Amino acid sequence: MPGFPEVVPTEAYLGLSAVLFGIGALGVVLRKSALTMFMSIELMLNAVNLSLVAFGRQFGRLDGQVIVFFVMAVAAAEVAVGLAIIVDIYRSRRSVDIDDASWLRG
Amino acid sequence: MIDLLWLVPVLPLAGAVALLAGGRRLGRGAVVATGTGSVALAFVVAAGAVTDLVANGPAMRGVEVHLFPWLAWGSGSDAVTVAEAGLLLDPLSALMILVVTGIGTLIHLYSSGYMAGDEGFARYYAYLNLFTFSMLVLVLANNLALLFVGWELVGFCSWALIGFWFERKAAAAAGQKAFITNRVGDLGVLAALFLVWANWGTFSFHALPGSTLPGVLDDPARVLATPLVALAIPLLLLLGVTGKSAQIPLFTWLPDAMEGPTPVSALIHAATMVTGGVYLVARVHPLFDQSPEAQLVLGTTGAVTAFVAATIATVQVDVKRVLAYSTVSQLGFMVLGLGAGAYGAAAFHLMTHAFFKALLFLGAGAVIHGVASQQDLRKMGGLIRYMPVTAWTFIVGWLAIIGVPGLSGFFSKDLILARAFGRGLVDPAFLVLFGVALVTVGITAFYMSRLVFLAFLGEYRGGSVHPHEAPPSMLVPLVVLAIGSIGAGWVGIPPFLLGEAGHATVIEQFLAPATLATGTWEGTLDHSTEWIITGLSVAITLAGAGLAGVAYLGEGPISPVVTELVAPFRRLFAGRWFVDEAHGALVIRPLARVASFLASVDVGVVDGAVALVVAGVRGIGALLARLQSGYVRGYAVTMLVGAVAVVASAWALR
Repeated sequence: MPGFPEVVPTEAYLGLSAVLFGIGALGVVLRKSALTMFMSIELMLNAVNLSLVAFGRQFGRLDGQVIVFFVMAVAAAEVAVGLAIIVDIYRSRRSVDIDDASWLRG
Repeated sequence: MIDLLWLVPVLPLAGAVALLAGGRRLGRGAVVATGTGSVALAFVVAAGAVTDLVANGPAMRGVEVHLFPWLAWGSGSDAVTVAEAGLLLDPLSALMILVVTGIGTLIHLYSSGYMAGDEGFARYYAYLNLFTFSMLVLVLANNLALLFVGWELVGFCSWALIGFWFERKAAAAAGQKAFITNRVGDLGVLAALFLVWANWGTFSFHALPGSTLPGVLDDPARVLATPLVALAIPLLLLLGVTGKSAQIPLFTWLPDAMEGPTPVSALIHAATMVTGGVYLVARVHPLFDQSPEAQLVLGTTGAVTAFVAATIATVQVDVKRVLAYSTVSQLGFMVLGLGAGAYGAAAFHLMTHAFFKALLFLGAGAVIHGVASQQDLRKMGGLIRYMPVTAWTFIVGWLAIIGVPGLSGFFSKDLILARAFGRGLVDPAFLVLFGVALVTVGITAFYMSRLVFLAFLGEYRGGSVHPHEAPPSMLVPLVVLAIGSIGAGWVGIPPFLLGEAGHATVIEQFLAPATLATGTWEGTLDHSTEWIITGLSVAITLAGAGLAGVAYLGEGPISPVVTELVAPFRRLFAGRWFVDEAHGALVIRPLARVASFLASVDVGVVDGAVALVVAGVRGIGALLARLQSGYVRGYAVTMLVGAVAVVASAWALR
């Protein structure tokens, strides 16, 4: 397709990654629902994954992809633990509002 | 038997250990047999050893038994022996061990009756045995360090036995008072010990075998190079004497010590322990001979104490307290004798006093036992009809202590008077002390006669309590001690009474190897002067006793003029010359104030510094705790800002 470069440049991937990361970060900071925050964290992780893969492709090495697999595995484990905690909080508090779960304050 | 001398202290110690370990499981008979038997055996061994010593002849009258090195370290040429565990048997310690074990045996026997119904029977005997051991260590030690061990141990036993009935608050308090008061004196002894070590490099009285160092008593003049030390050592020892032997200003613990069981008062607080100070001075008398000033202080302390205590005794209504003040007074006589340089005479009075004062205390115990623990003289009277043996033996003790011619107190007291007068011929200050002592003889006759008249003569005033005689286990010691109170003085009959030449008595000659003053003073008086002194003292005794008779046996009321006249004196004496109050105002309350100030420093400054650190840490913690809001999103913002800051700074610094 004329007008478009043959290969999408790395800068585009990084830009998308930055945008996704920003949305995720704002979601963590601004949303009160624990579940939404959780999803936002996943978004941030995947934004990082995207930049890693993009770098991997740019340098023609597999390191980036390998790290991404690690991140995905850890994220899966984190989801299991995190959801369990959220479910438990919901059971005891009847709410997943993160501001209600502030009883660990000093 | 001298080789077996170590058994003398060890036997009572074994008894004490056995009773402490197994006393609760033993029957009362076995406890008495262990306690009394071990001391009686010690007496037999002591008597054997003394017999051998006497057979040695005057030149050999000082035998040391070296047991084992005690405070020693190093080896070869570096070996240092600070002190060994060794025993010294010379005439002075011979006299002491016979008194301690002999009178100790009688009092152990007496206790089996007096303490018969007591809960802590075995504990009592264990302490009594431990005391006997400690006292024997004190008098047999061949060096000052071991002597001091005995000195402290008897103090401990005294504390334990005064407070024997510790459930009674007064008894526990009296024990503490005795202990703490004695600490003050012990400080003096300890300081003197340090000075001795600094000047002689040894604590031994006599040179150890194989050592080039002369003993303390072999070379007393060594200290004269520094006159201050020559004065300080005896004065510091004197401080110890005022504590242990209850002299002014530390005598107030002894009357309070009467809270203990009466046999304890007889053994520890009349016959033996309180004479420890007198023994100490007699033992190290060459140090006192170096310093006439210290001797004068010693003599003054003794004479004034004798007088003050005798006056207090005249108004006491508790039978044991009369005897307690009497003991203080008699110890004052001994200390006066020591001050006059008549160490043999003081030791002689120590021995006769041990007999008649133990007798009087045990007699008082029999009285208290017989009238249902009543100690108030005003509730006694006429007891001679109910307890004749106790009464008659008590009367023997009375006649002995006031110095009726022929009984023991007469010889020993007059010997001290004569020696004080003799010293007065070279040192006029002692003539004043002699006068004080002579007056005290009269007061002694007065208060002792008052005691006997109030307790045994007249009508019984005890109301419904029916007095009864004591059991035989208590009467046997009384009779034996009564015989001793009569006869113990016959070893000290002055030559002028026998129509012989010279002036030294038999007992003084026997004791001379240990007690003869090394000074220049001879103490010779011609016989006519000695006759006058004796006549004077007998006359004053009779006057004192007669006055007591008029006051306490006379019919009808005493003239109000007389009552008016003696009232201020009564107040002074009944207030015990306000020595306790003086202690309170001069020592105890200032000390308490310093202590409470220091306590406030402790609370304010030391604890305050700690509290400040704690408050600081706590404040910082509280500040930091605010950051832990518990709001997860807050943490997230912090993390985000932090991450951005890190990345931004890394980018800015690239």
